[in-house]
Amino acid sequence: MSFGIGQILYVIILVINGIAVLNEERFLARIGWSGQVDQGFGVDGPSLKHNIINLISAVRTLLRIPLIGVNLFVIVYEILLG
Amino acid sequence: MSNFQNVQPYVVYQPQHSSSPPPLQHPIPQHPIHMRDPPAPSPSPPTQQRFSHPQQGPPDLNAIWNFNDSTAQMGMQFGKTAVLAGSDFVEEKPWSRLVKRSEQNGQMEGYKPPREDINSPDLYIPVMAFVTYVLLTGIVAGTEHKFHPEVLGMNATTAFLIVMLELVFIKTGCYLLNISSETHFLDLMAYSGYKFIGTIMTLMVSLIAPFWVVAVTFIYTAFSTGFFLLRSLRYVVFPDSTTTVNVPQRKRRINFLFCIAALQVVLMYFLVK
Repeated sequence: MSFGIGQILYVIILVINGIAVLNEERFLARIGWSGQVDQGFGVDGPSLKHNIINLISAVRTLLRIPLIGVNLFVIVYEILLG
Repeated sequence: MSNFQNVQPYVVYQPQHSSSPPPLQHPIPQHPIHMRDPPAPSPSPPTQQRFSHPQQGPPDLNAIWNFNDSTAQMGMQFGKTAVLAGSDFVEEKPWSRLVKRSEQNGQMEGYKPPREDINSPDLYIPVMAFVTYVLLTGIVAGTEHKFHPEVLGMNATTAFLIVMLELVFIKTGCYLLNISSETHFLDLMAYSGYKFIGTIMTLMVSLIAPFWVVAVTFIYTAFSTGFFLLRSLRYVVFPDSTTTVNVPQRKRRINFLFCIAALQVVLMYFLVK
């Protein structure tokens, strides 16, 4: 049972890629996970689902540009040395 | 001038203590029960006394103990310990952290540092246990004739990543459940690091004992770590500064707390393996 740091990095990158690749119109809207959910009265704080949606949209907006660079780097590294 | 006035009491203070040995600088650990307890007439070790004597213990029981012989005392104490371990021990020794309040308006500023609060998480034990764990895995690999210097590095990385994994789990859970606790990152790291103690115990037992003993030790240590976190992380999951949470939210948070405790068993299994 041993991981290297490299493997963990790959796992993190792949998971973030997986979140970022979710399509807003084709996938998220279809299962009702798109945009802002209306807050009902009597509910204190956003719900669990609302938080997940927020997290996904934040990852999609924030990490899209850096992911391009990181993915390119990993691909080139794997082609040359992997 | 005012600066000099500030210095003055310190100068007076200094020779006062130079004749006698200066008192310990760190405060004495707060064991309210231990200190208030009168020395009990039983011959058992003091750690047990601390656990088994309630703060205002039933005096009739104490009186009975005086008349019994020592064996019966021991037996009674063990039984009492076993019975009261779940209820009284938890009640009389609080697991919550002491809150530091601002001196002006009494507002909560955070938690007291470890030297003023015995329940405060402290990175000393986790760090020491971490190093010990890494060295011990080297020994275990050595007994299996598989030792290589790389083993130490790999195990250290794995253990560190497991701690990180748990941190990410707790932080993500806190975000998803809207738990707005201002727990410090290093506090959580300390809580996560306490599981190395149980892991060390299991590994050391595995060096000398047959398999079923190791299994029992592992189960015991894993569950006690889980229980410890269940009690200690209460204030993380239920920060009392927030407004009252409604019932489903509360239920979800309790489930989350149990998930953290269950995660301990899984992670400790990976560490022992």
